[in-house]
Amino acid sequence: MSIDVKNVTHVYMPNTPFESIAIKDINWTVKDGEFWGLIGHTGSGKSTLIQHLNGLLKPTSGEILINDINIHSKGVSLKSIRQKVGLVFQYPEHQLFEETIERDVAFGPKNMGLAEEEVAKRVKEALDLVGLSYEEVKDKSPFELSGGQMRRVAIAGVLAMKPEILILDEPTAGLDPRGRDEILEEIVTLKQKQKLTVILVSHSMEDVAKLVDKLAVMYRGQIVSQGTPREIFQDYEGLVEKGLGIPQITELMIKLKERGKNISTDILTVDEARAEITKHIRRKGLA
Amino acid sequence: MREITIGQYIPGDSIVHRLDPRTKIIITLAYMILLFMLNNFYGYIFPVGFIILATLLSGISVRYLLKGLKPLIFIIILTFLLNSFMTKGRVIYQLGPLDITYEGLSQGAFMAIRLILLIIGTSLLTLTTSPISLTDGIEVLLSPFKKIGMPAHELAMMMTIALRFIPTLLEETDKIMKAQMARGADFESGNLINRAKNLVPLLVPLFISAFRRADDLAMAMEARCYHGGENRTRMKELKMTFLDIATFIVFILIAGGGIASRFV
Repeated sequence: MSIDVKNVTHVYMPNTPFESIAIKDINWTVKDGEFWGLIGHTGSGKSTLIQHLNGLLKPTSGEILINDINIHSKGVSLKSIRQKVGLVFQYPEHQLFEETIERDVAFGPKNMGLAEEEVAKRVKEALDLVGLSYEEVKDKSPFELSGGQMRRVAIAGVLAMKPEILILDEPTAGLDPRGRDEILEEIVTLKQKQKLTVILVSHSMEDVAKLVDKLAVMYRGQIVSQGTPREIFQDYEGLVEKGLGIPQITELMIKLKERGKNISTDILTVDEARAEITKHIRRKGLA
Repeated sequence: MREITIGQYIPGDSIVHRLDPRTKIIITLAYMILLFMLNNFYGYIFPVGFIILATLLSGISVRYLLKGLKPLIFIIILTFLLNSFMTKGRVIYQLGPLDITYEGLSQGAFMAIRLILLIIGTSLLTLTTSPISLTDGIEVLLSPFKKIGMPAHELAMMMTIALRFIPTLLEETDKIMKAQMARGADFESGNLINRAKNLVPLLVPLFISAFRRADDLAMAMEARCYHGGENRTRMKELKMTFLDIATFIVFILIAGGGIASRFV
């Protein structure tokens, strides 16, 4: 499935004194199977943009095409769009409401009008996918779980609808480092197993550097640059100016280069950095 | 959801904004009483004139003010219809078992005008007065009743908190609603019973988060040594100025005109 965002502008509370332009003339294409990262400072319009992708918000102007069909044209059921484009909100555990985990995860598939056996099957699969044991947790109240586990249940609630595109709005916010790594790892496995198209909204440059294939940078309601993480993170000053940064390891390499070391700054992970620095030391040793 | 304008404050620096909150509260109360004292259509010229004057001076767009009526139109129409049908008197038109009477129509029109003026007047108060100065005003106005055991400060604090959290809760509602809609929930269609049932996925998380917020707030207040109103001083003391006195005089003249119209 592919998403095409064409000249989309969204204005909150138009024609009132509180009118504000949240996103402005966005053009963006997400192709089938891609793994995108969406970064930007708080208030840059990331959340507004992703809520357009499954029709929760209607663009003030412009259009959203999913598989080349405008989702706001007549005859398109937004419910089926929302099933295909799964959106996991920030702090999704705050949306849990059922008495048992099984029933909460079943909420989405049930709303799709699936038969009971199919719902039960999907609940089991979804809980498996997020690394929770169905037998162990199905009768528990979601509120008995730890924060990280609650978040998994909430993500399972979206996965149970079998979306083809998965959008996650800061899935690791407020988790401890271990919970964060676990969730991110699961997203990667999920993507491979289910052949999903994934859009990850994040504040953490390290996370996106590690995971995504492509990166879009939002600033004041516009997408100001897009490309591979390597390309994006070369523009250190530009990103800092926009209230963002680059992965610490890339920053380290840039600083080393500034001090006159003849090394590449095209580095995103610690392993790459180690290789590059070792190479540099060897070269120097020989000279 | 976010488009509800009642209780919203629009910052500004107009004459109406600069009035002492006590002046505005007292005048709004008196204005409300006036609305219900008037007994003929001519009398309404006075409050209507007053509201137009106040709106012009406040610099708030008329369109925005009228938009505030939108969510209440149903109540206004219902009041009008109920009054038209339920009042006995000279029958003008028969609609099945229902009689529309002359007295009913005029009673209905009265009530509708009163409601509209009431809503516009009170929204003008909240639109031009920040919640903090509003509750400050209420606290001072209620403080004489402390002697008979009225917890004026506590009441004002409760109101401040309630007002402060209206936008937060609306935002939260909006967020949870969208999260559930992303999971296929439907809040818009179905009959009344189904719709009420469909609200469960919204209300449960909303209550949980409200309680959590209340807990956090109580903790944060205690951490800053809040312990009620005793010996509490304020950063901004309320002060009546010449402007307030002038406003009172203008209002008394208008109200006087209104009351006089009762005897026409």
